[in-house]
Order: sequence, then structure tokens, then C-alpha cells
Amino acid sequence: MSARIGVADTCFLIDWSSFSRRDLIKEVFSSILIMEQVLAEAKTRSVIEWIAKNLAEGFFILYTPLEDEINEARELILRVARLPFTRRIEVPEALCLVIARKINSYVLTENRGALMVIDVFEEYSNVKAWRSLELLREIAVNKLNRFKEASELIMLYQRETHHIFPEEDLNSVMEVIKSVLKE
Amino acid sequence: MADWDFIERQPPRIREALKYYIEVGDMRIACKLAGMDLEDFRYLLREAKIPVIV
Repeated sequence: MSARIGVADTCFLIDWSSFSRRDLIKEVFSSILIMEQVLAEAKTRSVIEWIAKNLAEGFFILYTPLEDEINEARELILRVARLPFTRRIEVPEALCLVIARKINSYVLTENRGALMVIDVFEEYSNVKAWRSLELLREIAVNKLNRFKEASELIMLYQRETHHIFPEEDLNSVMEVIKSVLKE
Repeated sequence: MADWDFIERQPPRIREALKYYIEVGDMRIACKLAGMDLEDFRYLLREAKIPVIV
């Protein structure tokens, strides 16, 4: 596997940790950066245990943002707040975007505001933002053999996490998977 | 799909935060309205059978 690094924000971690097949993330990423500010938002046993286990295994890497990175995140929050049509973002997801931009990597987020930043601000256009839907797509096309398996995996995720994918986006991802995998 | 009996039984801040989330879909603002942590609010959404659609 190539060295693909992800930067995970809180809302992604909360949902993904509830997924019984959560370790499939290791099939796609060589490591995941966890900001200290994201870790601070994790509270329940299941989420903390999963984070701690992966920190111990070295798959998760705890990252302490530098002062200039925190300042850049705060500036990004203000820039977003000034726009009338975007969803607000907070420090954890802003930091994820700042760091992902710096190291040219993937942000794993379910935050609509964070997803919008990439579309709205050109300097963040190099950041690749994946929701759990895109991660599942990647797992499916690279690690599974049959479309039926992929479909079941995505349905399982939705059921276990109570996270529903928008119909249009889901259909689009299913089409991609269908074009790659056997029936 | 949402459990409106559950939602209406909640204390005012939490009830309004759940309704706000249903209407707007902004979890960050909703959890602040509720006076809850993000993770706690996420679990509350599951209890209320309110799906997160992203």
C-alpha cells in the first residue's frame, strides 16, 4: 500500500468508530493524523478505546498543531463565518483542513462546512476531502471483489452508525463501484 | 423516521436543538444549542432516530 495519510476530524471518528468493519480504514490509509483538539472531543468509551488502540499500534498519530497552524485555522474560521452561504466550522475541523493542505493529504470529515471550504477557497483546493461514503467507495473498489459485497458493506455502515448517505451521492458511488467490480 | 415522542419529551434546550438539527443539519450549532458535547449530541441523534445525512 502506498503511503496515504489521512487527517480525521471528530464527526468522522465518532461515526466510523461505531462501524463493525472500522479496521478496513487500514486498507486505504497508511496512517491517520489525529489533532489534539479532535482527541479532546472524544469522550465515550468505544471511541476512546479505538483511538487509544490505534495510537498504540502506530496507525493513528497524535499531532500537536503549531501556533501558526492554530492561527491559520482561526483565520479560516473567520473567513468562513464572513460568507453568508457556508456552514460554520470550528477549530477541530479547521485544523484538519490546515494540516491536510500543508501535507497535501486527505481530510476525513462529515462536516459540511469543512467540505464547502475546499470548494470555496482556492488555496484549499488541493485538499482531498472524503466522507465515510468516499472511504467506503475506495475500500470497495480496491479491496472487494463483488458489487454485492460492496453494496452490503455500505448498507451495513448506514445501519450501524445511523448515518444515511444522500441518495444522489450514494447512487453516484454505487455506479462507480459497479463499473469496477463484478456483479 | 425521527422519534417525535422522544424529541418532545426532552428538556427545552435539547428539544429545540434537535429540531434545529432536523431543519438545518448543522451539528456544531445544534450541540451548542443543546449545551452538549459533540459526541453526546451525536448519540442523542441516534436515540431520537434522527439520521445524519451527509
